[in-house]
Amino acid sequence: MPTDAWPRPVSARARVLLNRPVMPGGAILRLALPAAPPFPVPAAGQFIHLRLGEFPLLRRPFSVLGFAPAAGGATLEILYAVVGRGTERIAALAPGDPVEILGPLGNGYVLGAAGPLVLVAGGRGAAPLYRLLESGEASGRELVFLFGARSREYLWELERLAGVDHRLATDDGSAGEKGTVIDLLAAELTRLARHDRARSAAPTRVFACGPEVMLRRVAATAAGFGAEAQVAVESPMGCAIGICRGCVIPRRTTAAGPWPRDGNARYATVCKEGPVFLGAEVDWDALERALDPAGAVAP
Amino acid sequence: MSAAPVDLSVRLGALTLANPILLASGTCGYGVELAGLLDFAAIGGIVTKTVTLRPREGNPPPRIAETPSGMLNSIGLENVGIDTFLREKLPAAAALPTKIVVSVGGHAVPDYVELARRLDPEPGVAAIELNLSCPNVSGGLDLSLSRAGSAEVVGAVRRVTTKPLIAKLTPNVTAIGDIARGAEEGGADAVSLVNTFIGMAIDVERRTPKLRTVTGGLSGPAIRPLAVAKVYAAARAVRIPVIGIGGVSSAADVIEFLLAGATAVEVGTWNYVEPGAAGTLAAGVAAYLARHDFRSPADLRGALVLPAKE
Repeated sequence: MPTDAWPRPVSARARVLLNRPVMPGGAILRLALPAAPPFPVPAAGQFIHLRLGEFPLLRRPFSVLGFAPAAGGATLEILYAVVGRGTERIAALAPGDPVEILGPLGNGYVLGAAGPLVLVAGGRGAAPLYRLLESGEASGRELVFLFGARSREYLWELERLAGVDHRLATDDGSAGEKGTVIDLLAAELTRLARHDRARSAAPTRVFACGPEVMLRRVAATAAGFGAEAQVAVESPMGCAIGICRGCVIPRRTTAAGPWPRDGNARYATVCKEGPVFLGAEVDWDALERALDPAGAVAP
Repeated sequence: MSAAPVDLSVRLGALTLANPILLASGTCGYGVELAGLLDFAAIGGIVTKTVTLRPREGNPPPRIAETPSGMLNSIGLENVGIDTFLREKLPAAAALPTKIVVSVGGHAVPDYVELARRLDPEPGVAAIELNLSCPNVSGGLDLSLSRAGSAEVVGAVRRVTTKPLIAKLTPNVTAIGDIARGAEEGGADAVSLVNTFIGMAIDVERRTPKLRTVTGGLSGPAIRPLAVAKVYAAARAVRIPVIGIGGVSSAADVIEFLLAGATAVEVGTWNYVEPGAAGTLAAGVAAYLARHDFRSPADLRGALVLPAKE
């Protein structure tokens, strides 16, 4: 897919339609978007930058969970977890409250022409993959949805998987298999590898979103089977449009994805070059150091 | 209603802007990133991301942290370098319907001189801003910490280019008026201030600094009163125009800087909050000037009413 085709973002004033908890510490915010300016249809993996008002100062980025045309505009859904004072403000929003959104932003998953798709969701990370199911981008493709979480109550909105081939895993065994989504992934890639011998060899793609530690293991597992992993990562952001360079993650120079790249061989902007990266493109060791700043160094 | 129309144009030495609103370096990229979100014809110009002689990868993450009404950053002057800038970035920026001021940075005087030489023949460059004050890059002398240092670097650049020169100053000094005088003595057309204040934030649960580089630069509305005071001091120290920078988010904030003695302002962190907001400020300034029977932003210099002496 020519990725310059992502639509140019717009700024819109939205109103809260619904703010509904769906798991411990997590909720869906559904917004009504006006007809003008028309909000481009977000691809799975793209995100919006949400502004609440005077506080917090900076906007907050959220992956698009749902999008649908509606009378007089559109509706857009995000999933958020209450992790700080900014998201506490979101939790306090009531129907009718105004918010501003900028989007759709960033590069989404790139499906390619053919081949099986394995979607790997960890907890909150199901949001962009639910969007992939909803958007129809993957219709007609062989697809399996693997969803893992610590326990049953974190496997949120499973009704969105109706009619979709899926497997569940929980750390405590309260739903699906006892284990991790990585176990499910290894089993699925093993099965696909067996079947591959009997049919045309279109490559398997693994699309993942979840905690960094999970994404790293997804990338390694997929690589072990020769499958391409596309992982959606998170980072605190300033501008969300590639200007401030505040959201970067360390990258490896050895792999290039299907998305435009800006020439910095060491760091990639999550907002503009991501949030979806090839698993082989991320410098996971350096990313772990960034997330655990105990080893802070002088510039 | 005022009978005479308001003229928003301002002069910064040899540089004339359609209005006093600039976008601050580092907060507007190379301009094109804001296409479709900002009305470029409604601002005076943009100051591009600081360019250095060689490309810079920047500092390791985390690079930003939010603080009350502010943002700490330690980007480390990540940029594409002058060669790529001239080949790829400048042509697109120059096509925008606004003036392009190019920010340059370096570790030593010869870096600035070479960058100015490279930019001098470029018709798309309206002016050069000398970033004398990035707080996140160490290893060289900080040219903006002394009057003599700022005079030396500005003077050296002045000898190799006829472009208007703006010296961007750090607030992390004892007497900013002295540094501004040095820039004036070196031949600057204007000084711009302030760059970010050195700041630090700590995650108390993890007992770690929130930035990988421990300290960074603080910007945003949190610093505006600090910046206004620095502009007030600098404007009383020099004859050349002062450009006010620090937490501008509204037309009233622009007016505040102009009353403190600035001739123009740069909008920074607010571009992240509302990427189109800078394009609405000039109209607000015009409305204020008309309401108060002023004809030009320059009329506000010296219009500050100070408390009467006891």
